[in-house]
Formats: sequence, structure tokens, C-alpha cells
Amino acid sequence: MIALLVLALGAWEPALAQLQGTVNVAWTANAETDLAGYRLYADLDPNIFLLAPSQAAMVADRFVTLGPAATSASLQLTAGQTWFLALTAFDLSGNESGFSSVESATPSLTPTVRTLSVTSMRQGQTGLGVTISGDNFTAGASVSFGPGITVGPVNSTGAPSTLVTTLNADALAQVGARTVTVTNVGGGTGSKVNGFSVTVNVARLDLDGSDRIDNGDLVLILLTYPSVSGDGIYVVTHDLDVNGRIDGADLAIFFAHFGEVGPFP
Amino acid sequence: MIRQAGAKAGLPRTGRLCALLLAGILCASCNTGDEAEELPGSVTRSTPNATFTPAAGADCQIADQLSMQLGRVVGSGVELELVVTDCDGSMSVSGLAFEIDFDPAVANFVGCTAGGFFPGSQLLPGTPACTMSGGNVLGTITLTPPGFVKVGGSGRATIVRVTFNLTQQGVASPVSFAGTDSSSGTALFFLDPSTQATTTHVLGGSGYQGGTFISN
Repeated sequence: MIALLVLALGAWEPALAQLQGTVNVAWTANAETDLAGYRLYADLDPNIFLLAPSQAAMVADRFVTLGPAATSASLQLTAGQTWFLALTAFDLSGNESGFSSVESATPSLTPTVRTLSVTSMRQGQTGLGVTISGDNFTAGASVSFGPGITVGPVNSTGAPSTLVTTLNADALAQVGARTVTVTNVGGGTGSKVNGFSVTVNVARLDLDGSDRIDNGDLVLILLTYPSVSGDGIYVVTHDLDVNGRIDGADLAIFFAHFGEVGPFP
Repeated sequence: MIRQAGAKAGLPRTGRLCALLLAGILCASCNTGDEAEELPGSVTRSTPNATFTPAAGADCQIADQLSMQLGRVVGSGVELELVVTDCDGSMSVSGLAFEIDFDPAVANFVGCTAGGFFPGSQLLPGTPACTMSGGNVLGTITLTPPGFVKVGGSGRATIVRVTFNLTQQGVASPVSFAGTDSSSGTALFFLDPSTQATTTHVLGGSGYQGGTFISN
């Protein structure tokens, strides 16, 4: 006779990682030697779990059978709705345990970032309005442009297809490409790699304040070239791309603007 | 603004057509069988013959000096050599900032190349770098710190070559260094071995010698 397999409450330890319409579930394995597998049930109505498992199986929205070695599962469920999930175990004779504790999850939509109305800003620039276009944005979504860029309040009245916000770049924001990430309420995220960039503030290259990018500025850079942050000679004001190194990349930026005459914006 | 960095001299080779006249008159400009070397940017037909006359030689008449000397000339193309003269062995040169004034109505700036004084492998990335705006060429060539080179041997060395193309015939037009003894203008950079710091070397007014573009 196979004892009814009962999942101890402690054995059902759902680790719900809510992804884009996906609910991930994990549990501690049963130790019975005649364990044959598990069944995972999901429904929008928690009351189905008042039924016997054999009856619930006939009405549940989702029903998955897993092998005895399984300790996790992923279900694609309709996003934005609250789902109820529970687990049973069954033995080699087909005897099924009662339901574990019932857990709930609301899978989030995954946003897609397609285009931005503005794709770059200068170090130190403030008040830059940008419209982000894409799909599956939710009301209350947040936006990130990486370190050194402060994102203002996000207007999501255009959801699910547009978000609008205002950006401020630090004076020493790192120069280069940025990944733009939208995070929906509920945790779903979508990104556009290299969707935005920060450009150097040319005024920073005029180290001697002569209103011209020239050898007077180069002489000052040479005092700190080459160096890395933490070195005694490193000076962040000479690190033109603000990547923690005064190197050939900074020289390339310098010579790209060599000879330019101010005043610089 | 014309900008050039780290340029190397490319020399396309062209032949010259020669019109032979009857009764044995030879074309004075024919180089039959030889191909003429051409400087970048120069034009070989209906253009002035150009040259450059330095204001002073680089031969220790002035002990420490930065001067413009005549390099290669082909047709309307003129290459100026910026030459450092050090007859007492006192200079530990790590770089050169230069600013050259010329008349853009009579010449076009073409570019700049390293003169060979500095080892190419030790040049600061991006140098030599030159840019031109109006009639002003701003340029730099420098070694990666803490490098420096002594001017040995004959006491003169070509640091950088600057190429122009003359566009007018029958002119004599001055070319000069600007902003002398200033790191923002024209100055030799020296490395102080004790501090490893780059300093500018003061040559004084007579230490900077330009010259004259001549075309006919």
C-alpha cells in the first residue's frame, strides 16, 4: 500500500519569479521512495482547490504533470490577472496527495522598447524631454537610462505604446552608449540596448578656459595621462569619457574637437 | 574647418604629357620615361610653380630655434619642414605645439605628417594632429609621456611636415608662427626628468622663424 503522499506545508516553498506572462514555481522535493511525480494546478478561482484533486483536474485552467525529479516549473499565464496555484504528489500506484498550500501570482506583461524620440544628450544637459515608444507598457511603469542620468516623473497616459519623461544628465555622466530599460508594475522589464547615448560636453575639453580646444589643454591632460581612478595623478576632470581611465579614448575625444573655438554651450 | 590627425604622406605617381613641337623644339617640362612625384593636394596643370623661402637657416646662427624650412616642392605643392635647432644639446624635446598663420587667399592647407624626429611607435595616439580655420593652422605632435628625444648629430631635426598648395601665381606671401612661447600657440614641450612634468621652453622672438611662399 502506498501511503497518501502529503506535502508538508514546509515542502511547498514557492519561489514565484514573475516574468513576462510567466510564473516560475519551485518546491522542495518529496523523499518517498515510491514517488512517481507531481501535478501543478493553476486557476483564476481559488475555490477549485476545495475540490479533490481528481475533480479539480477536470476544471482547472492549467494542469501540468511533472516527473519525480522536478523541483520547479514555469507556466505561461495570462498577464495582469491573479492566478492561484497548488501542487500535489502521486506515487507509483497512482495515489495522489491532497493540495499543498495555495499560492497566488499576477504575471506581468513584458514591455518592448522600440524607439526613442531623442537618442542622445550631452553631459550636464538638463530638462531633455523624451518619448519612448513600444508595446505593453503599463500604467505606473518606470524607466532607466543608466547611471548619471536622472529620470523625471514618467507620464504613462500613452500606455501601452508610449511613455514620456524628462532627463537630466550629470556633469560627469559617463560618455557612451546606454541601455534604456522600462519596468512595468509587476516587474516585467524590456530594454533597448544602445538605445541612447551620452556625448561629451565639449566645454570640458577647454581645461585652461581659453575658449579654444588647443595645446594649452593638451599639456594639462598630459600631466595625468595615462592613469586610472585611484592613481595619484588621476583627475576626473581630465577623464573626458568618465570611465575611470585617462587613456587613448580620451585623447581621441580631445583630438576630435581639437581647434574648436568657443564659447562652448 | 579642415582637420587631419596622424596623416601619412601618400604619393600618387602620375605621368606627364608632353607636346612635341615641330622643327625640333623640345618641351621644357617633359620628363620622358620618368614619372613625377606628386605631393598630396597638388595640381600639375595650369598651376603656379611654388616654393618657400625661409626667413632664417637652421644652421646654428641662432642657437636654439624653431624654424620653417623648405621640404619637397612639386608644382604648386609646398611642404614645410618645422625644424628644431639645438646647437648646445640642451633640449629634451617631448613635443611641439604649433600655430601657423598664412594667407588663405594664396594657399590651401593640405595636411601634416610626422617629420621623423620622434619615433613613430612612441607618438601620443592621435598625433600629429592638425586643424585649419581661416588662415590659421593649429597642430600638435607629442610623445607619450614620459618620453623625450635629444636633438643630437647635426643639431637640427625635422619634427613635423606641413603641406600647402599654392593657388595664386606671382605672389610672395608671408608664413609665420603665431602665439609663440605659449602652449596654446607655438612652443616646444620639454620633459622635466625630475618631476616628469611637461613644460614649455621659451625661445624668445628670434627663436621662431617663418618664411615666405613664392609662386610664379
